[in-house]
Amino acid sequence: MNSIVGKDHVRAPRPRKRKKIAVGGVAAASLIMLASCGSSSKSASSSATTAPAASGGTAAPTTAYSGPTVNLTFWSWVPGIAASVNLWNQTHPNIHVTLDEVTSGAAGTYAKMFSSLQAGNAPDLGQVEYYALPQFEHTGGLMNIAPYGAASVQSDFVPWTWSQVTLGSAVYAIPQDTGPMALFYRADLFKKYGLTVPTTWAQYQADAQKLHAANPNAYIGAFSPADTGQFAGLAWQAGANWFNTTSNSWVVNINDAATQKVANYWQNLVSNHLVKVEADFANGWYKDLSDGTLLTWPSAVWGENTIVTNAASTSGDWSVAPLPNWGSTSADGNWGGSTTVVFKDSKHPAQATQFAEWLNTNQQSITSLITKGGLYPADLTGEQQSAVNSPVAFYGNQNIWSVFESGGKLVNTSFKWGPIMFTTLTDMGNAFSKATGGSGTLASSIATTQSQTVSAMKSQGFSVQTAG
Amino acid sequence: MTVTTEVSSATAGGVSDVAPRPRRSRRSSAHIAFLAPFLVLFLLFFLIPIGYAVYESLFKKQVSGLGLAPPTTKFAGLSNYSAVFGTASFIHGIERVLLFGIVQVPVMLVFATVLALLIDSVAARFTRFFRLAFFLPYGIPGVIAAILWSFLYLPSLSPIDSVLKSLHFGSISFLGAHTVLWSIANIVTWEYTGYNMLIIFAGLQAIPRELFESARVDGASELKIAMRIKLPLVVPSLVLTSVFSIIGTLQLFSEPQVLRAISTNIVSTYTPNLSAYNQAFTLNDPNLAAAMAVVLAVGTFILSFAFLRLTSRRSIAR
Repeated sequence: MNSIVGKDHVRAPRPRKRKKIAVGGVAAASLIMLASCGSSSKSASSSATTAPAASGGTAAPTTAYSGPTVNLTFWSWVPGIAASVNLWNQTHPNIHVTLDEVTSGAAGTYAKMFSSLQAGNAPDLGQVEYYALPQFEHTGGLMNIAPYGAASVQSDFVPWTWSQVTLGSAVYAIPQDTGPMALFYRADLFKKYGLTVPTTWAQYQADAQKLHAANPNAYIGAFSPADTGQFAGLAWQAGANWFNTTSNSWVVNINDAATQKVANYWQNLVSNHLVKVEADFANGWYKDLSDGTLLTWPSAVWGENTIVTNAASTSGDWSVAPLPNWGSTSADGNWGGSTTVVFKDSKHPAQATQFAEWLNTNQQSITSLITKGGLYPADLTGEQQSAVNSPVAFYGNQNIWSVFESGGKLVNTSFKWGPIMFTTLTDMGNAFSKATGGSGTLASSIATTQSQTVSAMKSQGFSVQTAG
Repeated sequence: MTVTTEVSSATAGGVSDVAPRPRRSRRSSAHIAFLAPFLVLFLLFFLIPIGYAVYESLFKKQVSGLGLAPPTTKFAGLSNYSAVFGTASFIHGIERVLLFGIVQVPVMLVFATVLALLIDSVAARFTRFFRLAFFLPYGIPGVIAAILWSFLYLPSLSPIDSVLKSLHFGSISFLGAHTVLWSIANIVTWEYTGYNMLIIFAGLQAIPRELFESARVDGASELKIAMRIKLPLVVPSLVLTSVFSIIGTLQLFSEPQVLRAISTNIVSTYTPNLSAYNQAFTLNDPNLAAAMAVVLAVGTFILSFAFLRLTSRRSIAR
């Protein structure tokens, strides 16, 4: 339910079931990890999560805390995360974490977080999606946890996720899960219509035309104007760099060449009725996924469960291919995913950091997040767990995970989100809706979003430059 | 009736001769004591929240540079208000609900009046049943009503659509850029016609039956009675339902919010209320949202009272 969504910020929450079936090997894997990470890490060499603080002299090293019991509060909406928290509480008697199960960020929890930060009573820890991180970071809401040894876990994570949680030498969050993108496609219908699985976006368009000529009621895919999370992922793949920072100023470049290229491409598909314009994650869209109206869905790894849950009748019909590329360079985009942050007023930042690291690198905790929460881990070792690295019956016994795993390694590490992303994505979604409704184009929407974001940032006092 | 009043006034007169009038100060303190529960609640739950919204709307959060320090809240004067009026999408939202109201409110009230007159007519049978049946949609929460209707609107699920298609009428896009507003109007009409009908019906029931009898004796048809007697006498109820409807229109929220999930043509600033909600809870700017809310409240107030003035002046002129 969480992580997913670059889009929930503009929508009411939708119940989205994300169950996964634990495959046998998980139990074995977790037993091994239990051995290495169990009992409140007394031994100096215990696990990667408890490496001593990098910079000397700051806080006490996070290993083997044995002082008086510390109480931490944690706001999260990941289903079943309580199991991980319980495991922590059992193995770390001196650091008790109280979990507050909240509604997903964009459905109100972010608003609650911002107001409690203002009131000075924010929890110690919280769940924050990547796209929302800068907004917390750049309103002074997050604790820099680098002094507490957070930098030591960098090598545990998929590279792009680490660049999302850092600013210079400061570390503002620990990555939890990711949404590398790929192309879900109906293998059976591709065969029926004689289509080739596209490796480039040009081929994708050729397939769209061929399909539409063969059956005017079938489409290669859907374009959901309000789903700016998906669009952002596609722009990210094309090499967009929407935001950057200099030493004291933001550089806003949403209207860059890569984004224009993606916008023009989809505008062309929309104008020629080669894709169906409809809201995704809605009943009509689920029906179209089930009945062969839509043949592909460029989506993130968690989309696997969306199809399994909402198009159950198509079992065995879907396959996964890498996201089509622009020309010959291979690249991928990311859609969704979230992190664990320590809020600025935490009285126990060292212990909170230790928990955040443990939650997202301890293999037993990750197993639980995968199987109960439906997350695809940002932790490199976690990506090898059998629950996310074995054939899936629904997808014709394809090991779809390997496609996403290699995709995740191709995600551009320099892409940055901006400090008022809720506004930017809402404006973009509104402009896209108007464009597909007949006024303007996707490309002009991007230009509008750029100027709206710049003026909104300026009015809030940010120092802004626009890239030439 | 007349007898009893005479008697009571007589006794009252007798009593007042004897009993001294209570002192003025005690009387006014009694007034305050009786009014206190209302005044306290009115203050706590009406005036203070509104005052707080107005207060909040005068401030603004500011960051500087990259914004790594917490934002400072500073007095912004009326700049949030100028921002509200400078936001084209908010103004478009207001225009949209006004257009909606101009069309939907009269249509709904005509339906409600006709239904009330039908139920009130002498020929009506099963009055109770119909009264309840027409009122029933109002008992369904707005969000649920919108969800129910969304199933009828979705092209791939809609039975309306499939019937039209099978009759070769083509398909109607209920959720298109130019139609979705009227699809919402349809839901609202469905929900509130029965409610308004009930108010108008109560107004009709309060008219003395003798008037109809004498009209009938004079040879007036039922239609003429309805047009010449019932309608003019039920005007106060019509005014009341109109004011309620105008307020409801400006506050349009749950139906577009629900339909947003399935339509690609409802933006986050579709109605002023939706704008304020998104400003507060997704865009994290409660100050600007407060300014929007105040503008909306003042606008509603002005419209409602303008309507009341207009209608009362007309009835005086008559």
